[in-house]
Amino acid sequence: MPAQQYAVKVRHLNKSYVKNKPILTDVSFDIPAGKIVGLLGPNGCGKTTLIKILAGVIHDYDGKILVNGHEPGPETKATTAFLPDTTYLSERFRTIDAIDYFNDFFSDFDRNKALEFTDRFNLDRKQKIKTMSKGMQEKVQLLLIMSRQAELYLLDEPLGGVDPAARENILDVIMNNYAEKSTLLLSTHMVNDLQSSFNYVLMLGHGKVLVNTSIDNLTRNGKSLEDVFKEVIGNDWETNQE
Amino acid sequence: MTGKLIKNDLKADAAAIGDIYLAAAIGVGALLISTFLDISTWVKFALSVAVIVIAFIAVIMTFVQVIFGANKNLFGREGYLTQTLPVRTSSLIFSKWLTATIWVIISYALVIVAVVCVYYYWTVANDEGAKMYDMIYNFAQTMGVGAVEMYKKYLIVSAIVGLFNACIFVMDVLFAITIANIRPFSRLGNIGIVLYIAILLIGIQAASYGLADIADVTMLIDAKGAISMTVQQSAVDANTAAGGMNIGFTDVYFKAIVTVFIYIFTVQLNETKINLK
Repeated sequence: MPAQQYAVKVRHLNKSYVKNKPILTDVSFDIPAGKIVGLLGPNGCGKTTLIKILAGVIHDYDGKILVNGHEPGPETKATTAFLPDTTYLSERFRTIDAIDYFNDFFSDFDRNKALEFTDRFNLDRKQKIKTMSKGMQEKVQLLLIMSRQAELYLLDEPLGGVDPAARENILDVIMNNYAEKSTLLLSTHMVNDLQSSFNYVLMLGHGKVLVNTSIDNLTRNGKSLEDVFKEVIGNDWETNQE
Repeated sequence: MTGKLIKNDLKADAAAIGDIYLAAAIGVGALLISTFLDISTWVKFALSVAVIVIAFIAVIMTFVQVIFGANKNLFGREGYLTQTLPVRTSSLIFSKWLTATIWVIISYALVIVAVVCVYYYWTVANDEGAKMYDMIYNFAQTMGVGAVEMYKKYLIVSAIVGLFNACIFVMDVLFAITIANIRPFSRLGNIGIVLYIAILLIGIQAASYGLADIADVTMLIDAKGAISMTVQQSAVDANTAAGGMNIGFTDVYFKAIVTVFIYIFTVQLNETKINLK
């Protein structure tokens, strides 16, 4: 398969925050372009670290990373939309300021779409971020990310800590608004909720890739994704099927 | 993109410390307006003290913003946005350096304006200052300590060196912040930032003095205001004896070279060693 058909190529990736305690150990995998990829794994398995490396906010690692054919840098950041698992907008921003900030820096940002989202989420365009609840701040961040026509979306636990009703709404926004032909890498523990949305799965455990295959391959024996997840993580079953 | 970064960094700093500059401007305005009013000496005194205090608070707030604002924006939660912008790291650092330098210079300028205004308020506005200026000028001429041109040039060069030192200081701060976010130096947190800034400033200054002992580049401003450069101590002594003034330039050259390396090293560290928490 030609290189450009992979959204992400990772080779021999090693990362540790503390000496002799690796988070990722000699990790290698490819993510085909145009897929909705579930990044699954238990807490502390390196999902967030992997996403941060792909987003270009962690620089201290060994190995080779290619995002849309480029090493993480200005070129990949221009085409990658990253939603971290933390609120990050400056407190001085109002919603409209954050929208204008994204509009300033990202050429793929659709300002009108962001304004539509603002109304849909019942957000006040002139409300300051610092006066918003955490949930409202997360909504602002989500609308900013999903208003981009990115080639790669990196969403770290977008459904974490959200009530079931809001979860459905957020999932709906994500699935109906990501750019066509783009790749969506979404880390989550909500395996059941998202099984029908994924068409590819990357499962990490003990710092390694345990599963890297299509959802069809994974569930062809009639098992649900959650069953496979429990089996793989529980038994430390290692597989890497194509 | 660099222009957009600079615009947004200036706005961010203005949002954080703009109020104190507004207060200073109001204070200075009130001071000048009150020269036309008949108010008690105590009120004048309180107003003068307030303007000076506000100016110094503005300097302190500016330094805090330069140090901790940049740290939060690059390596704190806001870093998740800043570090994912499609811009080169060199542009990010340059923007932070330029905007912080501008604010540091503005803060210095504010103190100068505040002092000059208070001086004007108590002297020139009452004709006493004009008399004092004439007295100092006549005294200087009588003593033969040099022409006004020499003092003008001395002040201009000193101001330029002062601005240059502000640029150096800000780059040292950015380097220290970067170091404070890299293991194992990150263990000290915010205390580490202050500590690394102090170590860096003292280290560079000490190295400058050491270098000046080996080759002391000096700017000579003679009594008529003519400027020349020398590395010979005899020329410096002769200029001093003739009533001229001297400004050491070894540290300026040394710091300029060191700062270029610090900038390159800061960018390099940001591109290879930073992990956002």
